[in-house]
Amino acid sequence: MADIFRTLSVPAADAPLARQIADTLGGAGAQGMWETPLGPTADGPVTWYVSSGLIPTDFAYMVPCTYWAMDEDGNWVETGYEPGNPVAVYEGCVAAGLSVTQQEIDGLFARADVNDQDPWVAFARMGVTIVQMPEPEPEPAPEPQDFPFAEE
Amino acid sequence: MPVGIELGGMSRRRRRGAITAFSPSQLFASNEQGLWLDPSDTSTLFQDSAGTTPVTAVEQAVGLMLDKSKGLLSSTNTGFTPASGAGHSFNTPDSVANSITGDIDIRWYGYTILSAAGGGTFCGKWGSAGQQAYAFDFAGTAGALRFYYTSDGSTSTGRVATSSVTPISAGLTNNVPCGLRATYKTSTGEVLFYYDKLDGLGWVQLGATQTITSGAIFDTTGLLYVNDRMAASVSAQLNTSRLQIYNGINGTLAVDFDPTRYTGGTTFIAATGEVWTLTGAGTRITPSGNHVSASADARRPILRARYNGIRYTEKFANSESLTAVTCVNDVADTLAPNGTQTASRATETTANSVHNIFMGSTFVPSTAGLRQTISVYAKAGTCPFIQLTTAGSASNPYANFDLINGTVTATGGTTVIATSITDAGDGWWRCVMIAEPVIGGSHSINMLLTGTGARSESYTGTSRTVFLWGRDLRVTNDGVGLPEYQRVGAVDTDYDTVGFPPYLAFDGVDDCLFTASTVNFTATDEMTVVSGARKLSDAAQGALLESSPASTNVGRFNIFAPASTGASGNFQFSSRGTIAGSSATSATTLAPVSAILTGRADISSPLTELRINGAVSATNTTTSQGTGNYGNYAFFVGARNNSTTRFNGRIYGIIVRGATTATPTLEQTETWMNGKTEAY
Repeated sequence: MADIFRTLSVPAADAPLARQIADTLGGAGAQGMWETPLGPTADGPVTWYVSSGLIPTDFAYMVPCTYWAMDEDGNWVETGYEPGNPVAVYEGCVAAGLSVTQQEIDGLFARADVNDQDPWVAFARMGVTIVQMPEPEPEPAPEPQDFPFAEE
Repeated sequence: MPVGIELGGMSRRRRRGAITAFSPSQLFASNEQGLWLDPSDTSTLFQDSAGTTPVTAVEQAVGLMLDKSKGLLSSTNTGFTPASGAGHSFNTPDSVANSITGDIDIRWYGYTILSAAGGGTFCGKWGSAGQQAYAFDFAGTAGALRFYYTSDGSTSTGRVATSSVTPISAGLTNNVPCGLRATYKTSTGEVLFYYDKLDGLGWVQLGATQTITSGAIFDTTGLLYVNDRMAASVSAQLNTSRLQIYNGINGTLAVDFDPTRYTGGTTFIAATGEVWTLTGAGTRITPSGNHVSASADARRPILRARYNGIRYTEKFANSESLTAVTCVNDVADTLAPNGTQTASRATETTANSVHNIFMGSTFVPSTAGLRQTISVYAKAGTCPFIQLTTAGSASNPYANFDLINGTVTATGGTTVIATSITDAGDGWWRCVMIAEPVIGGSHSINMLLTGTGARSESYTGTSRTVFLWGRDLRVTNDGVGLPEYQRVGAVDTDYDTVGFPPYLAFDGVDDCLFTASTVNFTATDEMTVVSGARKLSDAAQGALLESSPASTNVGRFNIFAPASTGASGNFQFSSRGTIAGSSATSATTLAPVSAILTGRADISSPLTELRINGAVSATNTTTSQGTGNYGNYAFFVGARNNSTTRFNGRIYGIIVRGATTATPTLEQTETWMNGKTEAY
């Protein structure tokens, strides 16, 4: 079955648990989720973390999803909601040895903002943007090379 | 030879007649280091990073994009092929198609050690004595090609042709993808050998024409083998990516061994119908190149060719449209402009005073001042007037259309840029409004009482009707010369792609492709980069491409879209040697905007030049880049180091060449890239 597009945001405080669950149930394809920080401005503070893209169908059906439409006045209207399957998520996590409670998963699902919107449309609706993080440290300089165009 | 699916963009290039024999492969003819990434060539795209699941359609994630700079031009895709060595082969049963007794044309693609003594067999239908028909190999004199056959199933004496020169002596290289070919003419006994360096120049004859005993080829009942001539007979040090046998020289394709069709197990079915069965072991071949990939699902960009922003373009009665009129789909009253029964009928209700059909879109941003083209095909029923308008503000633009006389009867609001109404035949008119709304919002088709009605005219409905079909909403500068209407179905994955250039959609959130290994540019201090891209946002810096994990690394280059943000949105090409680099930065060029972005740099000169759409945009010859050559780092597409500075936009293609490129060749490259992008 084709993958399904989702934009999945979780509150910053929930991100570690969300990552643990994804790592536990999602396999290699779910590694590295929720590493992009969101906040009210590009300078922060970080209030959410987001992932967006095509994800496997079985993964998509486990998590909740809210559907939105913009009315003629430009207001977002909720047009549908799928609760996902928090019980299956809990059972899968426990079976895989992850220490988590059903209550924690229910809370994560309730606080998450999962939808099928373009991420930037979702950000506008949520009133957030990507928080810009500092650039990584440089790598060591490469070994000196012979300059190929040196004068003879 | 067609390989994969080349999506979109062709029709206009043909009209222009601008396509020449130029191929970007020519940029790498001297083994220049670099990358050539071409999303329009789906044979290079895979949904997973391991290359096991090909991309077959738009709206699929791209987890691996193969670099074509090392010779993927014809068919050297990842695929499943017999492992090297004796006993590993694919075979297919005897058939009418592969029992060629007349002229034959065998074409092999792959890579191998061409200089190896003992070589290997490309293919053969050559069983035990009495069952021998034909074979093609380089198992004779080290590296020389051979074609041989029998007319009686046993006698090959006088019927073995050996190439007078070897592929190596003709300039081919061990383990570099290539094509090799043999043709045999039964009436004269002439055998010709050819090679193809996959450089876009096609087949070149290898050595002199050989003449052997003429005669028909024996019709054996034995199996046809690839990577062997019979079961476990000849060591086959080959990586075969394609083998085709034609009945007749340049004749009918009879056999097409294409391992990219393999999906698992021990068999696959060729496009020509034969079933190929693996004997021994197989191996997945990944050709050499600086391929880029993403292992995490959500970080993969999506192959897309979407331009029309709305769904249900031919279904005006649907679950999404918040309409005040009653719509019925696929009516029998009238055929649509394309002759199908797909038109909708809209009928005013008498229950309220609003008569609109809402056109929501999340694909086209609701940005104030963004120039958009709104269009619909309309035909008068009992209502002769419609209006196109943008919702969200009473000041927003509108245009009224007379569907009897084919005229624009009124416009108003801020700001209508242009309108048109064009006869589409059989009473249909294509109504178009190009506008810049004062406030972004959704759009509507309104039914009107009069041709001069006000924006969102209020009146008591009269149960009048109008027929509608083919609505389209796109950002006006989104491609040049594209088809004016793109059908989109009920879901975002269902739309027409013919004529619409495909691209990789990077979401600016977490998408990034990068090389698993480093790309070694340490032999050069000159660089050429040509890319086709569309920048969708200036909200944050976006690394369209970067040659290292950090801007502070010695010997790196990058293109940013944008470098300056917000109202200063621009493009920038940057290069550095041992000291902080120099940049060539465009004037303000606000998103959304498509462009062919070219960077040329020379660390020692110093030179950093940015070209946009074939013209020099900025040149920096004053800022020192230090000394030294470019570095040996992983190459990133769509983000810096797969972690920050994520590009929000589309990529139509990227060519990176670790060398300087003369202006005429550069212009050819830019023209080629624009054929993929349709930016100007």
